[in-house]
Amino acid sequence: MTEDYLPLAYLNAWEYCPRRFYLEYVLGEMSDNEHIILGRHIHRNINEETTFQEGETLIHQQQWVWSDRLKVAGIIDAVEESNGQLVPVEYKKGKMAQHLNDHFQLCAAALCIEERTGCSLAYGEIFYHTNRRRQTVALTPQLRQMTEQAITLAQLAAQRTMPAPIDNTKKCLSCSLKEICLPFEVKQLRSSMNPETDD
Amino acid sequence: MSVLYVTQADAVLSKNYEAFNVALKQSDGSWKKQTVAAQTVEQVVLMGNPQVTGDALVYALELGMPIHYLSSFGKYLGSALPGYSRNGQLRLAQYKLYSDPAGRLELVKTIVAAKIHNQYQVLYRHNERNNPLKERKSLVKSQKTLDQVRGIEGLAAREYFACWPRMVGKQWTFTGRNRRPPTDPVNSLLSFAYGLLRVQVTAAVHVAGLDPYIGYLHEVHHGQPSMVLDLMEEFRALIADSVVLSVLHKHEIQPDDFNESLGAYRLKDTARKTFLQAFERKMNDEFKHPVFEYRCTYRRAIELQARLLGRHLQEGISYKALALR
Repeated sequence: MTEDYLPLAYLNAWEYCPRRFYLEYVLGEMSDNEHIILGRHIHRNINEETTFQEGETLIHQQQWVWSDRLKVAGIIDAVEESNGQLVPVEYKKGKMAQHLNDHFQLCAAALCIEERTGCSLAYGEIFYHTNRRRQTVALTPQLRQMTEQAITLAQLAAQRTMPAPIDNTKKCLSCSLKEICLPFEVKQLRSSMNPETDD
Repeated sequence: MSVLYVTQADAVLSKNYEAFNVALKQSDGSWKKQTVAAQTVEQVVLMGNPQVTGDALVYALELGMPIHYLSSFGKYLGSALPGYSRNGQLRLAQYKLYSDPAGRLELVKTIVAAKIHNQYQVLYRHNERNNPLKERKSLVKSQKTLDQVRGIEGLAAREYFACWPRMVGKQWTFTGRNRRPPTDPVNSLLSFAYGLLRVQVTAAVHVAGLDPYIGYLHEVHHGQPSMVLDLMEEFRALIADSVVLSVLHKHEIQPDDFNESLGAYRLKDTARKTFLQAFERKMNDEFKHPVFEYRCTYRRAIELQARLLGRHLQEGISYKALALR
């Protein structure tokens, strides 16, 4: 039913790097590194679809969400329900910071939940494992608009040819796909082909 | 990372927690067990037909580790491969170049020129400076057809091996390259080394998501893995020939390390182990990459070339075959 819908996790990849998105989503490439393995490890306790009560809060874990309007689908780590308010929660390995890619993934999940339930969501939360903090992410009109725009752009990019490597050494160095993408090698070979258009 | 070679036909490879157990049968009938941490192994190569338990096979595949099967002669039989690249577009790009005569000729020239270059370097290091390989290499560039390039490649190969009788030393007789079966010890070592190299290149071709059976220099026929054979060309002299010459010069392998039957030569068990160790040493040797200038092992270089070929096919960046000084 939602087979050709863009998976939410790839929206995260899209914001990280369009080439990574293309390699993973369009070309089906994947590769593990320590970040990926650690991420999987911290998800080990929450990878089961279940619902349970914790104090005042009802927690739905590992829920399928999708949007027919936006043509996206995926699994949200948790949806917490208290006082009639739904709060989507994502678990992330890293440290709390303004990770726009995580925000897009969360916001897209929230848009799905809104479409499915008719409720309107005010905020979501991201639990960052490294410093064990929950970050509240307000679902502002601006974030919603940027998320929808990212979804559209990602869906368009999937129809096109592979994007060139990005210029962000830090991202490339910690990317699990660097041995497949070969950002430094490709850039060097490209610039040796046309020295005047040194990109 | 290294390759786990199991060469005893009645050995048993099993899994124990996060390690492989290798049980080797001793002459008194008892079993000697060795443990190898799975995280230190990149590939498993089985020679003869040692047993692998289902647990060990599945664990290897889960870790993304291929298991290769070789006959006791070192002939490549096949592999159990993890679910690697699913990059269908790369295969389409690979097929596209196959039917693009100009682009294909260009790539083949690059590969053959690098092959001859590396052959020349081996000769040069062994003081065989009086040979026509340099001219052959520059001749490659001006050829107009694939067959012409192949002709020069064959010529260069004959001239290259013509220098070998002097290089291998007096206790070895070598009158030129022959195979199926190798009729002298040096040819038997070369065949073994090419078999081991082929295992590594096969794994790299699969990792990169290339179709092993569609190549450019080698014809697509008789079921030969022409992509694997193409990619092997730039490494034959660099890795396989170098290892053979090195074990001969260091006297690590002696003439009585071979069994002869009906004119075919084959390494004895202990010498085979010595040769595998020499091959592994070479694979883990580092060199400075001529294009990217970082330190690189031969093991990584093979995978890198397979991936760079993939980038060439898919993104049109120029392919640079590995040619070492």
